[in-house]
Amino acid sequence: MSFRAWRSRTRRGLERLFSPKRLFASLAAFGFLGLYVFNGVMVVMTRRAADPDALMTWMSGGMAVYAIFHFVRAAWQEPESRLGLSPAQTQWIMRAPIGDGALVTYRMATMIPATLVKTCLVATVLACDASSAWRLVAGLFLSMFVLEAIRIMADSISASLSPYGRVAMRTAWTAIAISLAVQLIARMISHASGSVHPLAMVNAFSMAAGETASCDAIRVLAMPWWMMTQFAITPSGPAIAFGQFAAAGSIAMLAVACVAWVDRWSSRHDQWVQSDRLVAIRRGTIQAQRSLGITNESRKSLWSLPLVCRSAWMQGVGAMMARQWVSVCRYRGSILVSLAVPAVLSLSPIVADRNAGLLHVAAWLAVSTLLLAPPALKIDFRRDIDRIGLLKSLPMTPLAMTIGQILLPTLLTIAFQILVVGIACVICEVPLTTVVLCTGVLSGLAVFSFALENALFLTFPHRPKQEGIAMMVRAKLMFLGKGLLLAILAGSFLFWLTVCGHFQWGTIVLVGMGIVAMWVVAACTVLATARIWHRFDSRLDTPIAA
Amino acid sequence: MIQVDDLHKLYGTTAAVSGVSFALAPGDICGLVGPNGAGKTTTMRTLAGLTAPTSGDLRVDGLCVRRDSIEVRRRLAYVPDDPPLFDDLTVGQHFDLIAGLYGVKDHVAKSHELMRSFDLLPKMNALTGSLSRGMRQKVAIGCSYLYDPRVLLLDEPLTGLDPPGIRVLLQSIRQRAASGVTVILSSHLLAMIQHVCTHVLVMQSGQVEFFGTTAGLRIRHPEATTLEDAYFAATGQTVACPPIEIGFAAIDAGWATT
Repeated sequence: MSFRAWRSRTRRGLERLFSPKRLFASLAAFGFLGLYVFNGVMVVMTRRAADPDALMTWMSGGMAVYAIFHFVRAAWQEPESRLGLSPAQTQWIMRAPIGDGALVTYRMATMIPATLVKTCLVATVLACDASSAWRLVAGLFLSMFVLEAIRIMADSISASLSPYGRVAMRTAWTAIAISLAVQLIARMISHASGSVHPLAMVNAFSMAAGETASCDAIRVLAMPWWMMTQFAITPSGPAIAFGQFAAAGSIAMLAVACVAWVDRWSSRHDQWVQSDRLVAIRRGTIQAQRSLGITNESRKSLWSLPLVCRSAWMQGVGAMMARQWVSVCRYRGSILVSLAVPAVLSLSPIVADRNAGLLHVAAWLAVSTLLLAPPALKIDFRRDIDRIGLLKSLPMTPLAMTIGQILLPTLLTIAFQILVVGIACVICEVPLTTVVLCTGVLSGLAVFSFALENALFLTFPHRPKQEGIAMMVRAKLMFLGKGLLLAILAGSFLFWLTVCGHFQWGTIVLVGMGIVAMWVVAACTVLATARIWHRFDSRLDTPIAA
Repeated sequence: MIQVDDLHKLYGTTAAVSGVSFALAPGDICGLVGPNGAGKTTTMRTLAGLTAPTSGDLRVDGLCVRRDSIEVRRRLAYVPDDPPLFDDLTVGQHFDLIAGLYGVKDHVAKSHELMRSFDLLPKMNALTGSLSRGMRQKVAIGCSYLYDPRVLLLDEPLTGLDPPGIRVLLQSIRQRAASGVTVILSSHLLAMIQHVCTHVLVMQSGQVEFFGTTAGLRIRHPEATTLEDAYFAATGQTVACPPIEIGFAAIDAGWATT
């Protein structure tokens, strides 16, 4: 079944990839893929082999940090269906007369292709560090497979918790994540030694990340991956290698068994939580809700809408914003946490050195706006893939719909930028023209960023929490593409500064033209997104469910 | 065949189902009716093993739904409202998949027969993602029939079906019930199901308002001439507009002669 689904999905994917309306974007994607592979080969050819012990510590520590991230994410996000199965899998596979063990095996098997591709990508970069290619691939694959198993376990545990249990899980894992972040930032400041040059900051970050991944606490958490990374990296004789492989394979199988055990525990615990609650309701300790109408929460959210959103404003843009606002109110905690990390990162140069200047903060803000804000604020077309038909039926022009979808996340990002710039201005003295230039350009960048994200999404749409090879390649390409765009923007900005300096144009021209240029690019991107939305065919372009 | 005792189901602190009890024998066809949010789907999903009950004892063919879940799944089919399908499989592949999962031997001829009866043969090689709502409903129902379950749970099966499809489905339900299959049929199209049902389970706010034979419901509400009238009487609901005069005496006659 999995093979048939994969074959059918591949065929359809190729058809979509080479359809005329996506040809340009597809060619660009292939260009990036070529660039990635070329870069990987160049790195392998030019880089010296890393110290095996350090690499092992990094790899296993990195996996442990990733596992912590999965637990934090699982604690904060809405509980998923059992084992993260799709509705169709729940209806037909989970309902089928197969045992829980077989169901877990099926679920883990569906993750093998994407894990293999991820393994190949990482193995390409680490090829010169390992003594044997097949051992590197096998070791990395098993490591990533165990990480996937831990991700599913984190989701299963989170799904079965009572409200108090969930608060405890959130508190515990967020505290762990914050302590990690604090360690990372402290080490980064220490390594930067007062320098705020972007390259020095990047070097300091990589050194701090390495040290954090190899600290004692992380090394203990990384125990499940020791054998796998040792097998992948360290040269050894065939007998020892076989023993290491057998041990690593056993750990992977143990991980699958743990997923099955956690899944069973999760079902039982959920049952226990419900029974406990029923007893409390019977005793009158808590009140059962019978009405399925408007809850207190939704009533509160509706009342908290800004007046402008409740009015019929700009062909329904206000109404669309009102809907987004309800989501923002509901997920305010997650949004705040998601934006707090980039805020700390953006302010780190000025905290390290008060004379760093606002432009360093602005550079980090630009990176955050382009790379971190869109994933943190997915309240636009990206969450409406199942309601595309409904959106299409609304009496709104493509431009109004596009603005309605991206306006609120953009405004939130701009508010975040202004807040960070404001804090920076409190910490150090900044000339007014620099503040105007930074906020003007960054706000345009926010519009550009969300418009671009939605344009790319509508060109290559995908479902929320979709997994698989295509999604993994897509994520890598998007990251590379955005990085390239950021480099182009930074380059253009430096070029503009040089031109202004050469012709000795005044500050007004420098600031004014810079802002105008950014906003022209942003407006063009919004128009392009509206055009793509206009051409979006809900029947042909909506991705199929798993 | 189906035995439900004191079923409770909570979602958070919301009681979706409270103290539901009923029993159905082989060959019974039970119409599960009630307003939106009454707990019909939750009751069916709990029976199907897709949702664990908060408390209560559920038995299908003498087997405990919780303890003997795999055997219960083998004997029970559940078709939800707007059934989710694997959109990257064709209709034919769907039947193959179900045959494989339930161990149906020589399923090809049976699949063809089911596809023929539900007018799915022309779509056999079409991806289910490209089908209309009604066609998807037919695929799901056909797949459920493939392994000859002893219990059929159909949640809003008539929605989206064309008139021939509705006729084929209702006929097939009668035939399966005649061969001893127990059917629970949830629907808001009361005029459509009133001729088929032997029993009625009326739910409201998660509780049972009435459970018994259709004759029992008629006795309890002698003023009711149709299932719809009895439904309104049982749930205590009133509507602002008068019932629509359909004008086909045969429809009412069916209710009266049950």
